[in-house]
This record gives sequence, structure tokens and C-alpha cells, in this order.
Amino acid sequence: MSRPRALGLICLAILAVGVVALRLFIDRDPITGEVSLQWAGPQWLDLRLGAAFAGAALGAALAISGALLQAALQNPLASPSLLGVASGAGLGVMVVLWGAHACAMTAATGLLMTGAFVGALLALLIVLRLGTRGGWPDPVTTILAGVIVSTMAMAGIVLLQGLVPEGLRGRFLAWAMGTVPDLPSRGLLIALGALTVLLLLACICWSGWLDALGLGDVAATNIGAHPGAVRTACLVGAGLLTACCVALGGPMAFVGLVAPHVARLLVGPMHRFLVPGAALAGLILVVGADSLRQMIDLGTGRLPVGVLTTLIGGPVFLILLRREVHRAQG
Amino acid sequence: MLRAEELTVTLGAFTLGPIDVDLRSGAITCVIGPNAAGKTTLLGLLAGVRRPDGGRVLLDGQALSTVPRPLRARRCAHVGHMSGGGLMSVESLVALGRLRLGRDQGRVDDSIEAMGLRDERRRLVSSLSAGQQHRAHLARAMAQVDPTGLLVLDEPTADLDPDHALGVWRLLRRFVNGGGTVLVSMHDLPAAGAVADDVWLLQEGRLIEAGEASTLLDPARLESLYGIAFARTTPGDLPLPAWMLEGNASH
Repeated sequence: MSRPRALGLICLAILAVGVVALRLFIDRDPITGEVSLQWAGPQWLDLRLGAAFAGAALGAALAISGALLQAALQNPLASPSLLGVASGAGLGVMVVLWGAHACAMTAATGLLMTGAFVGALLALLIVLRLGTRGGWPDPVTTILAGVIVSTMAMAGIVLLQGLVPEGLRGRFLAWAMGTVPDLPSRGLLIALGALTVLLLLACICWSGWLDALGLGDVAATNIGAHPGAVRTACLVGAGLLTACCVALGGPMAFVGLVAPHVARLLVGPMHRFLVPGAALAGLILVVGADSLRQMIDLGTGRLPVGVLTTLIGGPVFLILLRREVHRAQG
Repeated sequence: MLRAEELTVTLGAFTLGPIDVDLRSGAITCVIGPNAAGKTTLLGLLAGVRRPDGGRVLLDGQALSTVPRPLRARRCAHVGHMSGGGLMSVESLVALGRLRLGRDQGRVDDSIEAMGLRDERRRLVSSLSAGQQHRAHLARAMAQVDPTGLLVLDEPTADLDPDHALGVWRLLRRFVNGGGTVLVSMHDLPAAGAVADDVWLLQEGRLIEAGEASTLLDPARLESLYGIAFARTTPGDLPLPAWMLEGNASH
């Protein structure tokens, strides 16, 4: 490993440990609303550990998903929201809320998660089906299919919002901004963690196949890679990770888009370093934003993490974009 | 080593083939013809990076579609005109040629050295000139292919200055002398005359003639192929690189 790449990964790893440690120290008292900055007692430690692990898993998973999509679609603007998975999950949640309202029931959190996961998977399957040309996913067709499925799902969400009372709309909006749950579903968290680690290891082991996609399909085929199969694996892996993430914490904007770009700046474009770097950058962004929101009180409870990741990620992305423009102009 | 049988492909209104041809082993063969004759498509089909609609390609007597990908990569390296890899360093790009063949840093270093890119090995491919980028992709192909394999190159010297073009032809001639085979497409007819052993004449998707360069590169055939008059040059008529006027100077 070259020295700058190693240094970049080490810096990211130290920062990641730092923000996770900060999250274990910081919290807001649910009764008094005061911020506490001290090691949690046994009664709160489980909550903080759960939130820290959930934030770490969400950030790393969304970032890996973004890195895989950017490699598969050869598009620097690709992100988990591009596949229509988040919108599909939103429609799933809205269908559950509407169904529960129609049956005069209250939708349990577990049911909402199930709705989100099923909606996300359905959107993924439709996009993969529509994006296929010649037996394999085509980057441009897949992006177009993702945009169309996402727009249709958004239209469905707006339609259903008109059919439920205002209170349920508020519950949907809170979900739609994305959050790190204090009490994450243990099963879903384990599934997301296992899938994230598995895909991270796979990306490191088969990083050359991801790099090969950067050569274009003709050259990639000539060096012995199978671009169609690699692209399919990337899309399915990224889609499953995103589906688990939106089911656990709702959609979280910018993490999957920005984290791979930050990692690219620090550890270079080769996927053996880029994917772990992106996972660490995503972890830092989400856990950092979750720690930050504990300190912000607008009088209406804690901000959703998605608001902070967007407020932080948006400017970071614009700065990166400006740098790229300046570099391209020489 | 390579044979095409009834090879056809249709791309919109354009149809290539049917083409039946044998590629002579241990020779440099140039495919020449006007724009849109199908040179790039033919090279892609023969290298196995594009699927034919009909017919087949035999590599070492085996149908190319049934040759395992790693073996195909080892026996036949292809460099197209539009190759990516801009975000990676030259060294990473060249090393990717060994993706399915196992790491071989010696081959990678030798290929970079042979293409005169030693000082650029750590630079991003996108930061290089067009000619340097093309040489980086040629280095990838050289690191990939067996010494007795096949190099399929689409206009390998189109972006190169005369000095580097001669360097590439000398390298390809050394490759052929070592038991390899080279198939290139090109528009530079004086260079084709200087370096090619065989020539394939392609026109509107049909292979008009295939044979020795010394026989086929005559003004009458070229006039028929391109629709303009050709005349033989003599030293002093044109400011051509001297090696082109010395016959097979790349030998």
C-alpha cells in the first residue's frame, strides 16, 4: 500500500473511532432535555451503544452502496437514491400507514420497517428489470429507469398522503428525513451489519473487477472481466444495502453520494482502498451528525439526522464539485 | 492462429460480412479501408469483445466464444480507440491487464518501460496527452498478452508523433519476431506500406481482398478502395519519416 493511501485510511479510521467514542459519551436526557457529556451509566449504555452501532452501520452501508453504484454506472453522481430504492421504501411506508388507518389500527414500527423493506426491494427489482439491455444492466437505461420509478413512487406517496390524517403525514415526514434509531431493531441491525461487512470484504477481494469497469466494457471484457455480471452484482448489493438502511433509519440524503468522493480524494480511485475509505467516511458523517444533533435543541425535539447529513453533505459536495471543475480547467 | 468463418454483424443500417479470412501467424496484418468500412467492428469481433450475429471466430482452432475468459485474455489483447481508465494511474492501468492472469510486476514494469512511460507511471491517465494515454493502453495490452499471442490494435499510432510511432512499430515487430501476431487497423497508408506484412482491404463491410502488402498496396487497388487517385512517392516528394521510405524499417 502506498504511503498517501495508508495515511488517508489511517486518518479516516482514527476519526471514525473518535466520532463513535464521542457518540458513546454524548446524549440528551430524555426527561430534562439537557445535553450530557459523560460516560453513560449502565441503564443508558445500551441505548448509546445501539445508536452508535446503528449510525456506524447506516453510514458505512450507504457509503459502500454509493461507491458500488458509482463504479457500476460509471457516473460520479450515482447514489443510493438514484435507483428509486428510497422512494420505493417511502411508498411502502406510506402504504402501511394508509392501510393501518383504513383498518383503524396503529402501524407498529416493525410493520413500517417491513413496508419500507418490501417497497425498496420491489423498486429495485423493477429498476433492474427495466434497466436491462442485451441481458445485462445498461448504465444509462438503469439510471433512467431509477429516475422514472422514483418519480412514480413519489407521486404514489403524495396521493396516499391525501388519504391519511395530518398526524400520520407528520409521522411519514419524520421518517422521510431519516434518523439513527436509539432503539434499532436488533435483527435488522445484525442483518445490515453482516451484509455491510460481507460486501466490504467482497469489494476488497474483487476490487480489480470494480476497477475494470472504469476501462469501459470493451477493454474490461478483453482483460477477462465480465462487466455485465459485475454490474449486476454491484446493483443488487447496493440495492439490498440501501433497502436495509431505509428500513432501519429511513432515507438519508447525501451520505452515499459524498462519502465515496471524500474517500477518492484521500485514498485514490482504486477500489481496494476506495471502498473501505468510503465506508469510514460514511460512518464518520452519520455518527458525527448523530452526535451533533444531540447538542442542537430547536425546542421541538432533536433534529432528524438526515437534515444534518444534508446540511453537511450538501456544501461538502459543492466544494468537491468546484475542485473538480477547477482541476478540469487546468 | 485466428480464423473467421461466415462472420456477420448488423448495426442499424450497416452490415459487416459475411467475412471468411485467415490471419497469418507471426506477421503484422493491417486492415485498411475508408471511414465506416467496418474496421473497428471487425477488429472487435475478431478479438471477442463484440458478439457476431452469425458465423464464428476460431482462436487456436477453438471457437472464441467457448474459450475461457482468462485464456482469451492471455492469447489475445485488444486496444480500442476509445479506452477509459482515466481516473487510475498508468501503473494501475497496466497492472489491470493481469487481472485474470496473476500479478507479474516484471511484465508491468517492462511494458511501461517499453512504451516510454517510466516517468509517468504514477500520473493519472486522464492527465496525460492523447498519445501518452494510447501508449498506456498499449502497455496494458503488452503486459497482458503471451509472447506468442495476438495483439489486436485499432489505429495504434493515430495519436502518436513520428518518433513514438516508430517506437511502437519497432516494438510490434519485436513482438512478431518473438512468435507473436499483430492485427491493426490504420489510415496511414505509407506507414502501412512500411510495416505491414499482410493487408486486408475492407470496403462497406465487405472484405475485398487479403494478401501480401507488397502486392495489394498498389495505386489501382487503393483508387478503387478510396475513390481518389493514388501515385507512388519517391524520396524527396513528401516529407515522410525516413523509415517509411526504407521498406520494412521496423524490422
